Amino acid sequence: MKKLFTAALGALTLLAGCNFLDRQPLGSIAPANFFTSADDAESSLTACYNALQGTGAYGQDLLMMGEMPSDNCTTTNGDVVALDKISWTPNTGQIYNVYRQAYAGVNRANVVLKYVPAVAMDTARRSQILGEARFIRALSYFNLVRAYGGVPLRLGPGESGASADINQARASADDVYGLVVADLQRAAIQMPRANPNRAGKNAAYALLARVQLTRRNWAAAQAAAQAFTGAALSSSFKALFPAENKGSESLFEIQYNGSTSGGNIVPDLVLPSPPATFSFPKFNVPTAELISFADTVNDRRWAYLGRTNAGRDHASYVDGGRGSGNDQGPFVYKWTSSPNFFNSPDNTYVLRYAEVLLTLAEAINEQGGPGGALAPLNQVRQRAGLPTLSAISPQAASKQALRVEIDRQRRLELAFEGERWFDLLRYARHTQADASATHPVTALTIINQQTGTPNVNYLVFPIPQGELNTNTLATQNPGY
Amino acid sequence: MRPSATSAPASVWGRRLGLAASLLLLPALGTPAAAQLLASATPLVQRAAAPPAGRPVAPVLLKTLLQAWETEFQATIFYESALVENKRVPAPTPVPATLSERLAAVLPPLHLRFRELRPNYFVVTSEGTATAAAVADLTVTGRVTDSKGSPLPGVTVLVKGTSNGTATDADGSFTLRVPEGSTLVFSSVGYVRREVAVGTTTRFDLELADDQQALKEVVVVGYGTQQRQDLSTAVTSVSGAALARQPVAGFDQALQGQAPGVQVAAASGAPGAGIEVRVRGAATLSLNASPLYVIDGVPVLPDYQQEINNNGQRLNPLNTINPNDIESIDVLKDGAAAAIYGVRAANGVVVITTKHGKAGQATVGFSTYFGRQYLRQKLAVLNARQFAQEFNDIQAGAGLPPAFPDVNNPSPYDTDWQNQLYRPANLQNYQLSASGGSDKTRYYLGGGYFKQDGISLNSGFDRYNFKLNLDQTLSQRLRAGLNLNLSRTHTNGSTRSESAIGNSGTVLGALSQIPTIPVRNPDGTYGTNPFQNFDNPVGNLLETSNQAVVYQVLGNVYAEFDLLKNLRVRSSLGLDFRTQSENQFTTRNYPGTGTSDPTTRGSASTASNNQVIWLNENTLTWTPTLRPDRHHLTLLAGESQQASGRNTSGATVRGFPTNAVPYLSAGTSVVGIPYSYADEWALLSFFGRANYDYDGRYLLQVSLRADGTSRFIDQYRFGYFPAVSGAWRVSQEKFFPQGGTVSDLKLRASYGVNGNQEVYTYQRFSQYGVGSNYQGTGSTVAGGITQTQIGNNDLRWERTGQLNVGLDLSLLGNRLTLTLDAYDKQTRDLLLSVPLPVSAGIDNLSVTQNVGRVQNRGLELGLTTTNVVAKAGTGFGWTTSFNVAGNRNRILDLGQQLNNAGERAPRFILNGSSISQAGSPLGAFYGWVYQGIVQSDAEGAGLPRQNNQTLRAGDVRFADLNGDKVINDSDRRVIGDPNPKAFAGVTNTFTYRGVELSVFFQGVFGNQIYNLTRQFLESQSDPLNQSTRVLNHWTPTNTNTDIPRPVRYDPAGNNRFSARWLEDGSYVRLKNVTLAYNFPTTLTKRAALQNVRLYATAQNLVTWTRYLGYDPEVNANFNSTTNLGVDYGVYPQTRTFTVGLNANF
Repeated sequence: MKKLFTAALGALTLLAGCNFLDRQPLGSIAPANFFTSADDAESSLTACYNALQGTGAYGQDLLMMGEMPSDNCTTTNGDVVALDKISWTPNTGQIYNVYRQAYAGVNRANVVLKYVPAVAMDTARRSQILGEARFIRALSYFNLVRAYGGVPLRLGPGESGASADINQARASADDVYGLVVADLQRAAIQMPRANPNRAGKNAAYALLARVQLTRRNWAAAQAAAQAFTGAALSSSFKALFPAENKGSESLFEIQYNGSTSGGNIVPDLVLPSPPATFSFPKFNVPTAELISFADTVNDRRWAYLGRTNAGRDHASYVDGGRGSGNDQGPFVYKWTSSPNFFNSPDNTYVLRYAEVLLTLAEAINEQGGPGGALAPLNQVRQRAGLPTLSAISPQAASKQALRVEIDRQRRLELAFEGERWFDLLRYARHTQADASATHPVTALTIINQQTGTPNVNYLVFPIPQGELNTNTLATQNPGY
Repeated sequence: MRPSATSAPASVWGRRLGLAASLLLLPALGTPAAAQLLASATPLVQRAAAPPAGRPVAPVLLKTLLQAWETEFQATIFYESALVENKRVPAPTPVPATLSERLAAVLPPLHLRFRELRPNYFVVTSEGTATAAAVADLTVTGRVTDSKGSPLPGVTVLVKGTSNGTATDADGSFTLRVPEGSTLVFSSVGYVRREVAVGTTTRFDLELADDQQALKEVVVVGYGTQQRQDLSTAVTSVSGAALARQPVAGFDQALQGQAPGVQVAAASGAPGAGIEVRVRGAATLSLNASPLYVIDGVPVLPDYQQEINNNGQRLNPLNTINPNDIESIDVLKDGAAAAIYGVRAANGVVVITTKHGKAGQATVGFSTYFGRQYLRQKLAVLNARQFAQEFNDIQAGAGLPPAFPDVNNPSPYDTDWQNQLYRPANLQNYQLSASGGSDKTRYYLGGGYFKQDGISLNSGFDRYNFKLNLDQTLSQRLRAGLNLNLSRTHTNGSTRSESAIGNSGTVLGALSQIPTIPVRNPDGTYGTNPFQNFDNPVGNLLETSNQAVVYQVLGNVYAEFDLLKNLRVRSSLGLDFRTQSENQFTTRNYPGTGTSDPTTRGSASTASNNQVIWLNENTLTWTPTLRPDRHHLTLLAGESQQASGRNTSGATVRGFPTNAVPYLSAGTSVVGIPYSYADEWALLSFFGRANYDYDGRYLLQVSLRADGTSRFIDQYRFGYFPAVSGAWRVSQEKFFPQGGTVSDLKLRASYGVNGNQEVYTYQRFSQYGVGSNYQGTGSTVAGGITQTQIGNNDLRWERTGQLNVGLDLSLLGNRLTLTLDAYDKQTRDLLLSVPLPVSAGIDNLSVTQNVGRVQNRGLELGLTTTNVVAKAGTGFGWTTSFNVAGNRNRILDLGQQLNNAGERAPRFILNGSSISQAGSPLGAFYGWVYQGIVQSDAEGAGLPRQNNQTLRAGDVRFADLNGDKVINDSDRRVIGDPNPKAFAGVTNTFTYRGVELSVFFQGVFGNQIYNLTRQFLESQSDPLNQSTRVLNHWTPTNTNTDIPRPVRYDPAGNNRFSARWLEDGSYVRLKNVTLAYNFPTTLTKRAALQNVRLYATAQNLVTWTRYLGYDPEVNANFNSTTNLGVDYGVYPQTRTFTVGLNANF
């Protein structure tokens, strides 16, 4: 008996020693049992790209946020009318969704950046995965900071419910931009030049150029825009749409495969019916002002191409043309294949080379005037079927004259691709910082039109109420 | 005691036999052969003088005494010199007459024995060396009766200090072989224990006195037992007999009304459904609030898990235990009593002890009952004509054309759906048991079958169970045993039996399906509602099924070893193995609604779950002998480890071409991905307890349990749960008048800390999930995996500290005993799901945190009285047992959150019609304030708009609480409380000769019920049948009513949640009446039976309540602590009549 007792006691001690109480998850995936192989690293990176696809990001709301407030688009649909009329509040749906989805991208990238470095796998591929995660984190933070101003800077995945960890004050916009630039510079080193269907080195430089342009770091923007190799404009503007990984102009696009697990809902939101599946007041309807602003005869980007059963096709828009109702008038025509019941296979551009050229032109012009800016600008004009500009062209007569021309080309080239409102915000800040730099239209022009006063508070969106209700350290932007 | 004199012949006295003869006998005695010191005592010169009575006797040398007696009786006494050398004894006083008696009086305290080898020839041996064979046993016989002279069967007769014993038979008689000089101990539950020295007496006829107060009652307190008089904590005991009286599936249900402070409610009347048990309120907001059940030492925390979610129907895992196998239940209510179970004890501990065999004649028992259950009442709903008129009125209210052009002949049908759905149902129970044992082995064997058909079509529950309890004495110091319960339960239910309206819940369906359609059309298809998608309740019940089968093995093996005389080590290995499988099938004929997905017709799901929880416990109990002997101390130290492993899987298949095979293999397409998962948890615990009392007057108990759990990270892994309690038995004091009105008075106070850790076992871990996929190259899709839920390494248990003060009082010689307790129970670090900042970027924007505090305070009173003492053998007897308790719970704090104005404000959690917020009770009803009916359009025009509508005559007006002239969500406040103010039970038992009548009332007072069922039955807005109450609806000529005008679609929101739907849930119920007849022994003996009892029982016979629903005992959200008291399509309670028979052979 005594022996038995001793044996039992011994067994006990042994059990206690073997971490009897240490029970790791069996039926669910957790950091403890995940990140053990290259496959795990890959699937965690896949989830980062998935975050960009969501309806809070390029799947819907980010495109609405980037276009609806601007002079490019209007709508009668109540879902997005607050963006159109600049009557948004901290409770506006898109304000919340974009914020939430961008942070999903941040958190998923943070997961990769924390755990993948320790995964035993091919080191080159691992480095590339980390680069891609940095790119996605940078893109997410950039989309946040230019919309909301400084935001909480979360640098690791959320893994603790402790109040000190979950409540975080907003960082300054400079700090957020600092992280974005650092991430992109690192990503550009870690990523390969070519990375089919995913982000590569050129995407990092293109985004860096856009970031530096937003910061008005003209030299840095120029440097980033000149770091390219292997990128070129597509010979046909019309052939660029719908985006489908075509050619070397595409630098980064969001992939959709047209199935219920990866379909693009934007085409059904913006196209008339048919080809859209349903008829309802559409989002992002091109304004009459934009149509009159474009040269719909000579500019191939806006020129009349012919008729389809949907209406009169132009490269950038389609005119439903019917008598009245939801499907009458101009509609965005950059996603042209089947809307397929909100599951279109059309991709969405995030970055393409034409924008880089315009950025380069703008950066050079802002530094030294028209001289060197004409070459990249002319590439874009030429492809649009417009005559090239020379030093004697009136549009190149001065820095200010060329600034107006670059603004014009930027609007016409990138219309509906989610950049117009952010460009207008950039112009407004540019003029605020440098009274000599005038842009014909800025965000303040639009704000004044819509609200009756050029209220600078609308130059940033409000922090969503959902964040304020849950993050005890978060503060609201002025005026909201 | 009146032992009859031994018949020792006087004639043999004075004879002396030779030494040689005795020496020859020695080897046979087993005395060491080297007994060289054996010596014949030589006669003494002086005699030991008998001291005068009443004076203390000075100890004398044993040797001197023996020598004196040899001389006195002319006898010879042999002994080893070493055995008696230097030993002193007090001379016996008064001095017995015979030498045997004198030896019996002085030798046992010295651990010596003697034996009369032949007349006047004695040998003294040591207790240790004398084997059973060495000292010849005496055969003693006798008969035990009660104070009335009736025989007492089943009295345990034990030789003191041994496990040698027997039990009295039906006649109260017993026969037992005992060693000479031993002492017999007679004990039986409810009687005062007696000890009688055997001496030379062999015939014992004695009486056992009633022990009404049961002060000596043994209470199982967790890792040990205590006598009730020694308790310093709040423990309520319920006997198995009180439970067995009720014809219900589980002991938890039978506990209702039996113990003060233990609130039991059958949330649903469905056979086999879970029962809600709350000990002193719910000490949690979001975790399991069920008490911990310790079944024969195996802790079971029921989680009422159901793999296939059936509208919240929950299987009751406690139904695997047959109530008839239960000996007693002890509810450890206060923090100090429960603290020995540490991290799982915050909601009290219910200790269940099953029946064990007693040494003695084997008893074979057979019991059975058979019963019929009935729907307690039907609710009055409209018939076809009334419905047609009402629906036309509803249409007219909204300016719509009438649906029935001829209200006098609306339809060829007038279906009473309640008659179609409910039926009287059978209830049956059979149990066969055998128990008994020898002095070494005791056993209890039982086998039972219980079957309860449901009063609703296609429902029922049945159970087979086998029980084996075995206790074996392996040696004088080693004991081992086994407690084992094997069972199979089967719950048969339709997947559509409860809750939800429309394409589901048949209880609501039976009330609200319209009477103008048939159950089945002439072509055999089910009738459907022509006005709205609303399914056929009979079709739903008959064409869907859900079969849940649970097999369970629950039990343990133990060994107990006396390391030293007072130091006992006990080791046990316990097992709770459970396998549960469920099969659901929806036939191809399932009517559903017109818009139901046709592929759901002909579909099946299966899910199974098996779980092994093993337990190893090792305890050390030391009861040191202290001097002076007024100090009593018991020390317990123990260690326990428990671990669980669970595996679960399931799948769903559609496209069944036939109803022939309701299993997955007959289907044609798999729905979703079949799943399986596994999880584990473990507990490692150390505990200790010290019980001390001084002279039975001052009692003190301290205990500490350290629980280590796998659910929290290292630094929070171990929780410490201390407790201290003390009591003062005032009645034991010298100054306390003895023999007065007050026979016993004890004051108690205790404080103990308990925990609750029942978050999901992996809650602290961050969880990753699949599904965030993205297009790969070409048409491939790459699978994405990322974080979906945030972990929390700061998680720790909810901590409950409970203060208890109590009083135990017995009056009039224990004819009245009273227990009064008051408690204050505060739980902090509540585990709640708290919203995360959006910027956390997690899919699931919430995290579990320790936030907030809740308090339960209350008073409990238990009272037992013997109103009329039955006269010996014949007269009339009457006893009453009464208990009442009130609990008040209040949320003290739920932390802070930012409101929409950006200010920090107290957090509140809205859960449908209930709110959780600081200052309110758990589950407080939150809704609009009803202000009566608008009597004219002009009046309505001046009132705030509701749902953007101007009120019209006949609409309901609600209070505009914030004065913004609009009735919206901001105009809600707390309007009711689902928690009862008090609950009580009273049992009166009357006996007259063999007839016994017991009448048990049970009641709940001061709670409110949200009658959501009635909200549908009086909504007057849809083509659904209505309660007959709507016949009194408002019209310009019928204005004095609380029922508004009928109007289709209820535009003004008259039916929003308000006091209109809150009803007083108080009730008093004649829960159980049992009339029994015990056949007289004289009769049963002829039939070779020990006893026969025939009885008839009525359960839920009468209910007094103002509640308008089926039954006030109702809860649609089973086991929720924050959303309770809602009546929404819950399976009604039944009224049951049974007849039964118990017989022992």
